[in-house]
Amino acid sequence: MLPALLFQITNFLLNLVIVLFLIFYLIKLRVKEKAVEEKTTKIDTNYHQVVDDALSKERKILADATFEADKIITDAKYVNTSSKTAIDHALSKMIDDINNETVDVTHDFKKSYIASLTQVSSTSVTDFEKIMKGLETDLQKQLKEFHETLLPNLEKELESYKQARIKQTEQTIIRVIQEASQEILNKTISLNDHQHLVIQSLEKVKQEGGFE
Amino acid sequence: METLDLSNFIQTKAEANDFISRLGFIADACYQNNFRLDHALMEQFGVQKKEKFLTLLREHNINSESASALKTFFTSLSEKITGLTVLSLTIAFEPTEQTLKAFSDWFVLNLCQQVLFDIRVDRKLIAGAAVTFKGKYVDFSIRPKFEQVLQRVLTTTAPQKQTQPASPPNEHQTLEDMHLGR
Repeated sequence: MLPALLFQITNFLLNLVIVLFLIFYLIKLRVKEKAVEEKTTKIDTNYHQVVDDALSKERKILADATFEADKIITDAKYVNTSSKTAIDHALSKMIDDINNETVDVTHDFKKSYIASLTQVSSTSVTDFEKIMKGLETDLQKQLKEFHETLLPNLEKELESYKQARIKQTEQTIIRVIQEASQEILNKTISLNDHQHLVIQSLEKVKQEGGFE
Repeated sequence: METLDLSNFIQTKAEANDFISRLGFIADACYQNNFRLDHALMEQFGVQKKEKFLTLLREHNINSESASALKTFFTSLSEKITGLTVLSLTIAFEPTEQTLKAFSDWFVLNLCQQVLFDIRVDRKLIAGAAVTFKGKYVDFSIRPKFEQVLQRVLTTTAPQKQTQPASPPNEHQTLEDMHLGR
């Protein structure tokens, strides 16, 4: 009776210990969870704060940039207009100057050209006469030389060429006559005569001992 | 077999080559079961030559029923043809079958041997023939004589031409040189 009671008491105590341990563990878990929740809330708050700061800084930077850009564009427009006016003015002045200068140069050139033309025409007529005389003398000299030396040689060469051509023509004529005669003679001989002449040729070959 | 005259069958070298190949064809067919000699000869050589060939077989006492005898005869015939002398003959006209037969007969009659002609036609020979036999060439055509005559005519006319003085181009025509009508 006593051991059974002891066993039950022991069992009860062990169960109690286990229950107490579980309760302790759950409480600790809850405490950890609370801590984590707090940490998350804190991080979230920090994040929002950082993002808000960044956005406000960005807006400020954009506003500054826009202001600066406007300022630059306004300055540039001013510079552009003023420089354009200055360039236009300078160009119109340059055109006027060039026009005036061109008129002067043309006038001078015309004057000097007329003067030089007059000079050249007066000298070239005399030069031309001189050249013509020289040419006439040369031509007469060459003509005389041609009659004395070249013409006889040319005549001689012409004669030899003529002879060569005549010889060549004669040879051609002879060849044509020969071939035509051979052809005509060949055709005028009858088949029997041809045959007879071949047999005569064979007999001549035999007589001369050609078949031995 | 030594006095065998084949001029009825072949006269030229080309004909001989063709004849040998046809003989070979018949000789190959000799041992076939359905072989008939007259049919084969007819097919290869035609009617006239078939008859001549059969006569040739009879003359040489060849049994046309015996394949071995036929084969031996064909072989010896081919050998005989291969041994024939070839004569290169250049003539000035296209020869007919009869002409070739006449030439072939001349050789059989005069030289007692059959030759095979290697015919060439050259019309410039005019007439006659040029022969090449056993490496020797002889030209008995009309051409050399014709050329001699032509040369003689040309050499006799050439001096006459030189002795005639050329009349100056501006000289007036004389009465002797004038012709009226024809």
